[in-house]
Amino acid sequence: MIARVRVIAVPAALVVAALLPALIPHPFVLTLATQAMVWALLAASWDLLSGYTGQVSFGHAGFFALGAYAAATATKHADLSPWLGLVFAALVAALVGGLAGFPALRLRGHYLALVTLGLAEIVRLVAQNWLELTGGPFGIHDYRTFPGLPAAPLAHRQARYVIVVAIVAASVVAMRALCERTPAGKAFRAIREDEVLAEMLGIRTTVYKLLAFVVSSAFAGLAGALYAYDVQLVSPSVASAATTSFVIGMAVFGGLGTVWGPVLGALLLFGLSEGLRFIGVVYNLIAVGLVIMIFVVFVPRGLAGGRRTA
Amino acid sequence: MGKEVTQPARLAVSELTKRFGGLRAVSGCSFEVEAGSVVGLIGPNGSGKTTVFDLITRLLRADGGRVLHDGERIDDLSTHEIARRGIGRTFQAVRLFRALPVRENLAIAAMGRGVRDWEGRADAWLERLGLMGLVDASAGSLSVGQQRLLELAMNLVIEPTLLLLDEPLAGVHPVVRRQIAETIRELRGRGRTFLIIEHHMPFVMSLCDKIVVMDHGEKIAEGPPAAIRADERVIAALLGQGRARDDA
Amino acid sequence: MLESLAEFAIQGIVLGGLYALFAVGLTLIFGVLDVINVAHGEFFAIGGYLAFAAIVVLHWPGAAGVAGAAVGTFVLGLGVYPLLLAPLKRRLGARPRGPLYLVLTLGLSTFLQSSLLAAAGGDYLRVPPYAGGVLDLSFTAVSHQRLLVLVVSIVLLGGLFLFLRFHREGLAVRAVAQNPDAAQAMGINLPRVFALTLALGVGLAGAGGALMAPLFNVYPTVGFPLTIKAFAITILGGMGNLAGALVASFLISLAEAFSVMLIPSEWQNAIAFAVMIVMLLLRPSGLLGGGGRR
Repeated sequence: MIARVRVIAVPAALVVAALLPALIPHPFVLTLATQAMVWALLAASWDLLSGYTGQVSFGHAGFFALGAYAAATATKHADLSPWLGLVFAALVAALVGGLAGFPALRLRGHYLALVTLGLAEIVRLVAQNWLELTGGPFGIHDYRTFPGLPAAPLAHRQARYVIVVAIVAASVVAMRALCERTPAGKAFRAIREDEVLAEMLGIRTTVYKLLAFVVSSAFAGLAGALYAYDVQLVSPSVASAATTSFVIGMAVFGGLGTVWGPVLGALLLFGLSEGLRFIGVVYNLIAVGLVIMIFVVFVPRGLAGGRRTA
Repeated sequence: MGKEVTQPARLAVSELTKRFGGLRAVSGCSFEVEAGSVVGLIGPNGSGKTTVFDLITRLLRADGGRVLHDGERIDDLSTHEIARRGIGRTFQAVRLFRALPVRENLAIAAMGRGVRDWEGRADAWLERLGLMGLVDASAGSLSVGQQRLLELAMNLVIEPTLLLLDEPLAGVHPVVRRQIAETIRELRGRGRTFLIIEHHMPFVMSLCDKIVVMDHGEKIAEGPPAAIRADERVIAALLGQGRARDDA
Repeated sequence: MLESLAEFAIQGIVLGGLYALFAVGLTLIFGVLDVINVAHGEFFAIGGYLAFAAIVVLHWPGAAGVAGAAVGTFVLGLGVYPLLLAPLKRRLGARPRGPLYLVLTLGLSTFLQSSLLAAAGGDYLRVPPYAGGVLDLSFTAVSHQRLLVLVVSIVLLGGLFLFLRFHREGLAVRAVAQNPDAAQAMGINLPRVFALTLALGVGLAGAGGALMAPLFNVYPTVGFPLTIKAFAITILGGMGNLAGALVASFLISLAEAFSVMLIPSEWQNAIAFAVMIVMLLLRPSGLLGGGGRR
């Protein structure tokens, strides 16, 4: 039953997403839809590391922010093409993610979460205080977005949406393939379930953990870059713990260890959260907190209903 | 070693020592496991048997001594490198990827050792051990006996050179016990080598070519089952289990 | 120079009292329940709000307000174990605890923080000092309010240590921290001890929030930076090690206080994180070694 829902729902959702600009040609809806896609990528990247590999990161806001700042500053100060900016952002985040992964080779569970939380907080402090580069508390703005887009506002939004959807979809498919169709994916699951046993069976757990860190942070950085080129403003608040909390909420909501579950969770939770803004700005995060608590305790498999839980 | 004609032992442990704080868990322990033999490692609880396994597989780092596999030192390798040399191990408390299906447990075991074309062998073992109908069940949902069999099967799909079994019969139904004993006997016939920790004496006595007895971290006896059965120190150590430290 | 050194030292010690109050509670919870309470800072904030409600809105005297806030957070804390942690524990059964508890308390943190925002708004609420005046030490002056924070922190922590050392329930808490299975076999009611420990830990945070209200003001996210700092402190002191947490609180607070001589003050908050990461790389078991029970 669940498998059938998956088979039908995912392609259907993708088709609807791809057609959205034609179905609802409205700038506000497109803006929200673009952002939802960015969140989906971030949630999927978190799931690869934390849901699949079991290395819980509380620092994805940091990788996201790193990517966003790397893209925005490189384009603003070095006039880097936004296309290369995407790659640059992913590389910067991957590099820092790899460095953060080193303690992870020795640390388990609690410690890792705490280190990554500290890392995100350091990113936030740097963003806030390195005025020349980051613009400080007010953030960085006035930089280019993707070149060659139509000038008319609506067409411009539509084109931007299509670009983001394409990149997000390709990234999610790539991550899913890595997790489901390669030896690395098996190693990720083995590490999550029992690291000692994995090692005992000949799996180089340190290498695969590092790989999960690098890939996950690279895609988180890519999501950050998409955010930067779409929103055209990056401020230190993107590195806040609320961002991480939001992402984890999405992943838990959708279903850990499935990659596509968190994508679904992100789209729904972002939609819910934006809907709640009409009632009052504060209610969206209350909902996020509630979703995390209820789903962790009572619906551990999330909406995706996957067999595997972290 | 020079150019000796004799084959080096499959596994040779010499002067192995491990301290935990002030306690000597394993102390100057030496023995050999000849290729194609089944060696039993027995002794009271807390005598250091499992620690020896942990030292051989490098889950623990020895404070002294050497471990040789086919004449090559393996005590400076890491756990996964040792595994890739074809050394398999089971655990006293069964270790499996409990949330994952049986089939995937086997796939990971084969992947970890870099073994290809394992499916046929896996199917044969699953059939043989009566797990064929359970390939899609999660490992954690199996009975204790089935879990022990799966743990064994995960080590068999890779055609190991040496298998370390830590209490393979603990908590297992007599029918499954017989199944495990038969499997070991058959594999020995095909030249596989075993080192087995086990408390179930009839099993040890009937199956093993040689028995190594440990007490308080030291080897106190070594020899064929008949000799071990008659050894007074062994009897004293095994009977004295009640007063032995129960710290393992 | 010497005078400013002394001044920084005093600032550091006062801040250390607060950190200790906060981090010892967090460590106690971790030591007994094996759960890191990511929502600890939100209970600090709740303490502040309760103090504001009692003192500014209801015009209670300061002491009664602080006591009321501590008791209020304690009572709230009593619900956390049975309502949130116990159901997750039941679901996971014998499986390793894993980091899901962290995710769960992160959810609680987000929920409480945004609920406070919804209920009280994002404004900084001011609470008048509980003690006016300053203590003149000739080279520097310390406000009575700061001294009060330090003294009350010491009294509360002393009380906690006495409770754990001599009271029947305190002994049960320590027994569970040592070995939950053995404690249960001895007839100790585990769920009760877990609930009580969690309430005690967050009660201390609530007391801290109420005490600091006149100095920090009160707003929904007031506690979160403290939570992250307290993580650094617990790691420095060794996870689950109460005495270690106490020592580490003062080490971090003094390092922060003296750091202003060397680095710009806006980087002060990074010290704790840097210490945390360095410690985790070099000596994960904490300064006093041994560390937690596993």
